[in-house]
Amino acid sequence: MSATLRPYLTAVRHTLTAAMCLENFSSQVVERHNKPEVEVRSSKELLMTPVVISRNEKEKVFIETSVNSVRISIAVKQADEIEKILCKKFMRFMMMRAENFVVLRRKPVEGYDISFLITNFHTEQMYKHKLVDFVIHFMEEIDKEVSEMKLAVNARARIVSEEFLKRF
Amino acid sequence: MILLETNNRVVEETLTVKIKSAQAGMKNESIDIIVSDFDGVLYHISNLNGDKTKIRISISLKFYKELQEHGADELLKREYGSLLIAPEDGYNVSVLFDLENIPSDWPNVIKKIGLLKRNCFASVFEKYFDFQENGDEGQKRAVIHYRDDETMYVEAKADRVTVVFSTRFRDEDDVVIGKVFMQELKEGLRASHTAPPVLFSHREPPRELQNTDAKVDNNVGYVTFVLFPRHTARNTRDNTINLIHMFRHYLHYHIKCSKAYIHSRMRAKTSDFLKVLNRARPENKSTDKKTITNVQNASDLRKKIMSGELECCFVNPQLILDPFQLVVSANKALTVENRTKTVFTEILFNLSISKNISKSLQQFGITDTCKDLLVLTITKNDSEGDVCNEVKGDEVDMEVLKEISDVMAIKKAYKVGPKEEQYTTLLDSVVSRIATKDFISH
Repeated sequence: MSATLRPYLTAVRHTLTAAMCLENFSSQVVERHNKPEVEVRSSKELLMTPVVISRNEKEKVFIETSVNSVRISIAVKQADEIEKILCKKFMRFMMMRAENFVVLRRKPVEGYDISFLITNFHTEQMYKHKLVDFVIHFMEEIDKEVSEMKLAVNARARIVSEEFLKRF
Repeated sequence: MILLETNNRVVEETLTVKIKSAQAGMKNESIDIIVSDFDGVLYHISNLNGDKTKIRISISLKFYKELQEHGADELLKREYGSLLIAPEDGYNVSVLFDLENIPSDWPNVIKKIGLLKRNCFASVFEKYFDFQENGDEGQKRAVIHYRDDETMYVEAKADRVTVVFSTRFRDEDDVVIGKVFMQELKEGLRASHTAPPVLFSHREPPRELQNTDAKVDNNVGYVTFVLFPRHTARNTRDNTINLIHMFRHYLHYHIKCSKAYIHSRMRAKTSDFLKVLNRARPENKSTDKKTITNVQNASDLRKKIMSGELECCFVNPQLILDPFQLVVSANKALTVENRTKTVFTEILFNLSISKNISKSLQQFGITDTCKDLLVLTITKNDSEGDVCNEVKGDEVDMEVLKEISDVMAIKKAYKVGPKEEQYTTLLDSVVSRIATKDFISH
């Protein structure tokens, strides 16, 4: 793990642990509604100050907290064109399976690649620390996976071109 | 299967089956199949005028007219000779294979028929290779619209033949993957000294094609092969033609393969992520507790539990005021990150207000001399564990716990002073100490 990755992930982990202090909260505006306040933004007093943790210009995490929900948006490293499309494809693939992921938001927040929405109902049904583990695991693996896929494409391209040119 | 075959295997295999069954003396069945190939080429295999012994193989190419300008007819005549017949309606070339008169070298004939498409294409290349050989520079460039919006240009110079393909990437992502492939192809030259130089330009056509109808847009790429005399010489030209005319399909085939591979990787990774997320869901576990008095084999049990042989938790009932106290501790052990080795030691640790693990275990766990025991098991389903059978003693009702528990010892263990007692019950004091253990020290 590189020198800047560990402190970055540690900072995210601690921020998330603190941010995931959620409680059930019924809407103040609509009778018998219970919605994630970070999404509906019905009242200013229910929203905390959002936090951005960034490792560098491209890799950052945006954590918005409210009384009953927290929204985590992740920007994944995209060094070149191929990483960009691989990342885009991967995120789209995952977001199409958002029902299975429960905490995954169907659309990312603008400026980020993928967003998670964790409500008090999730923290009640699941272990808080394991949810944090999941987000951290995701951040670790996504970079690794994108660069591995890129390598696979490059390796294939090399073999394919060599095989072709060898025939002449 | 890295390289694509230049022949059409379906056509070959269909004919082979036909010939073999004819040779074996079986009855000839009628045949009527249409096979598609690259570049929108269609093969039609049928019986001529309903005669089951005559098989007609026809091919249709959208761009056959352009090929004819470059001498496709002559080349086919040279290759197929007597096999050629008048083209079928809607097709460009037809050859006839007679099952009653099978030539002795039929495998070669079939192979040739399988190469029908390649041979149609070859005419252009052969013509320009000849121009180059003769140093004929004045010829105008050949333009073949081999697919709807993809074009091939062939031009001969005295020292080289340049072949330019325009290729369209349907998907924007294909452009990017295509660029990676082309980059490698440029660099691939180092691997093989005999290979021709390959140039690639995206969007803009190469300089030779400027001021022609070559398309300029984001999804178009131009691939240029510069073929030198060593590639166009008589003995190597067949191989060169085979490779060059399949190049476009080769490139696109591998782009598709890469995408399929990426997709399968994403699928695997996504299910991996799901697994991690599902770990966050607690499993359905139920706790079961029993009080046992007159225990005779306490030291034996202590050894067994320390070696991990027994999967349960022995609690000293003297320090337990109420089952609620145990439930709070067990719930915490199951839901919060554990600091001790097992869930059972975690329960004992949680019971204690001390931060010292071994001290907590000694205080609340089983001792060699203890006569009464409280057994706590955690099970996923309702199956009865046989842990209680290990304990030699009398199982009693939970109600008896009230008689066993030692209030003075509890007060001492939880450091409950007389002042506190005035305001809350002892059980509340104990439970709140267990719940707040993480951040309040006593």
